[in-house]
Amino acid sequence: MVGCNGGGRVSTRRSFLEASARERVRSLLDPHSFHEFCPPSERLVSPHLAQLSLSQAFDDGIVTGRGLITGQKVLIAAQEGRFNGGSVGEIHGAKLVGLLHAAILQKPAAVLLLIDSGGVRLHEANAGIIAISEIARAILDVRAEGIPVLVMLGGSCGAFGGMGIMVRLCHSVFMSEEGRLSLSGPEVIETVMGRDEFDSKDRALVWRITGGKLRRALGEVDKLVDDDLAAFRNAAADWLKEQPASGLAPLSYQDLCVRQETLLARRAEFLNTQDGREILAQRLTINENQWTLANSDEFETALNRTESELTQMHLDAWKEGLHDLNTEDQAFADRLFGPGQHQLQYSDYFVVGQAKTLQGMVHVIGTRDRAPIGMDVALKLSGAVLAAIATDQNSSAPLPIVMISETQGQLLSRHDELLGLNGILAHVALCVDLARRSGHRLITLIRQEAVSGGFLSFGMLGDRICALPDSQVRVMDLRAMARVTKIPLERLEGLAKQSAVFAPGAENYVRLGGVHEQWTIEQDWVEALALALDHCSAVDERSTLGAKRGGRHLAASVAERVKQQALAFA
Amino acid sequence: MMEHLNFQLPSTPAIQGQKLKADVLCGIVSSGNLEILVEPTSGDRKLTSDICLVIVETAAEGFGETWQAVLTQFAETHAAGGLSFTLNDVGATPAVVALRMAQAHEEWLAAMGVGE
Repeated sequence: MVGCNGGGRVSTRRSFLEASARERVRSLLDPHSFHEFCPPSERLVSPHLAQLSLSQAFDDGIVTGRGLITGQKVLIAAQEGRFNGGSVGEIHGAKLVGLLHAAILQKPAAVLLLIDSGGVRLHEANAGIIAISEIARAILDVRAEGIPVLVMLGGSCGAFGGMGIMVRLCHSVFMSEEGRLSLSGPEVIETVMGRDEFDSKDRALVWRITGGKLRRALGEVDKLVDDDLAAFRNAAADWLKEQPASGLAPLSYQDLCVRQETLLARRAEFLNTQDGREILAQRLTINENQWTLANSDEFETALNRTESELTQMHLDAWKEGLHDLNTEDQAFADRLFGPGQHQLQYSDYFVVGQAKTLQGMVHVIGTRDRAPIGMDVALKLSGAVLAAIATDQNSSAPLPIVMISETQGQLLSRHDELLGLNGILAHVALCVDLARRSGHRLITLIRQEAVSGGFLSFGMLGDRICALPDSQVRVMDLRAMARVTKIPLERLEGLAKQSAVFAPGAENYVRLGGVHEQWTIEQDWVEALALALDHCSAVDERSTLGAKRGGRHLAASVAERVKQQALAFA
Repeated sequence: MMEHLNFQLPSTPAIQGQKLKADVLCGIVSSGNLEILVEPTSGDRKLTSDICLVIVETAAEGFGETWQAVLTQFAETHAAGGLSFTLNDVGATPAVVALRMAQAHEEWLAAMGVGE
């Protein structure tokens, strides 16, 4: 594509935004160095789309492979945003998981993820969200090996939903102005909360909430890059040169405390902010006209800071406003631990404390009252997890953490999206992961309901996930789903009655391996909890479980196939 | 909702005296567009080197005659014998199909190291 740059000279620029996933991969890597794993000729198409009589793609919308960047070996994946919005289904997700598992064994110089995705593929919603949770665990495992993971964002779909969270689990993020990064899409917020909350038709507003320049100024992105394939390639090559040969140090407790403080400071600095304009005005030395027109170099030069200033440490902020349980929660805790065996408190949607089980003491951290997970609740969860890690720091046997997951999903709020709710939920996930790596066993109990982002960033990270009787698990409100998929609501309601990969319900998640077990009303929960604590495994076995139980046949085998093809190159 | 079509069309052999290998993917499965996977048919003995195989999965039903016309013209004007073209279509117009077929053919030749 030929265009004019600011100086009036004619330049040849090939747009990253307009390029396909394959073109992006080829242009980032050294010429002729790309080798694809599970290429289109293997026809790993989604059986779930076929069942709905929808078009399939031979690569299920994701390219995975290996190649060289300035002579160094990297593993790379690129989502195709134009196929079903780059959405993650069973196969799509499994290809990425397989690539990441290969990275752990093969130790490439880096892993590059070209994310271009609206999140879970709603046509196979349950399989999709479990796949994203498996991607999360795999990214965290790659990080633990010290292998640098770089995300590049600049496609038409941006990174939303679970993929918005995944982006912030990685080490570095480069993004173009045209890219978008957030959690709930503007259309979803508008559908559920109304146009006054977020007018999804207002393109300029959407970009001031989710776009590359705002995200860079907020500190959620490490570098702004022009919408140019060559600019992305150069940025990746420069970044790779900076990575230490010995690998990156894993995130420490200190690192996550600093992050916790930074996010609390951000929340305080922009307490009532509804528009990215105000954030950009705070962080830039240039005015709105100038930052609107600035290219990425000019924008980077004009940034005076990207983080809120820390005035005071507030690591104990999660303790504010705690009081004794109400009767209903008291009865629930009695049933779970036995009367007099727990000391729990709650504030608003958040519950925390310690309890005694047949296996000894445990920390209890979670949400209640069908919590919508916004930044306030999220930062309480992460704060409490960090405190549990600190408490047991010198213990040879850190106490297990019982994570009570009761959530209607992420809070649908323009303000929380603006401040980077996706990144804040990623922070919660990083804290939970640190707890696991510090030796805490993690038991998740799903109470009432567990939905999408709120579940993905907390409860879904448990070593063993148990659903209480009558609890619900699902991805999205059917009305919002109808709007996003453009499938009529009546048809979706009909489909929901038939399909385990699609329909809401804890029993479906059990079949797919996303929930380990569901308890019954008759059962003694005190004993069930002790048994669950006994069966904790720090290794993610959900895809094998899904295959064994017959609900998710392909995830494990596809991931293994990508991994084997990658390892064949070692 | 999806229609499956299958065409075996006479066409000049793609490359003479050289084993056909390489496969390429061209285009994207999105509204008004299609992807085409080009592969040699050499694995199938019934398909000789002067036959071009086209398999179509399309979301638009009832356009069999249009497909026949567009693909026959492609096979007549391109040396595509011994190749199979598998299409995932989401309602691309005949003009888009014709362009994509030509592009896929050209990219396959390039992957074989042959320029047209």
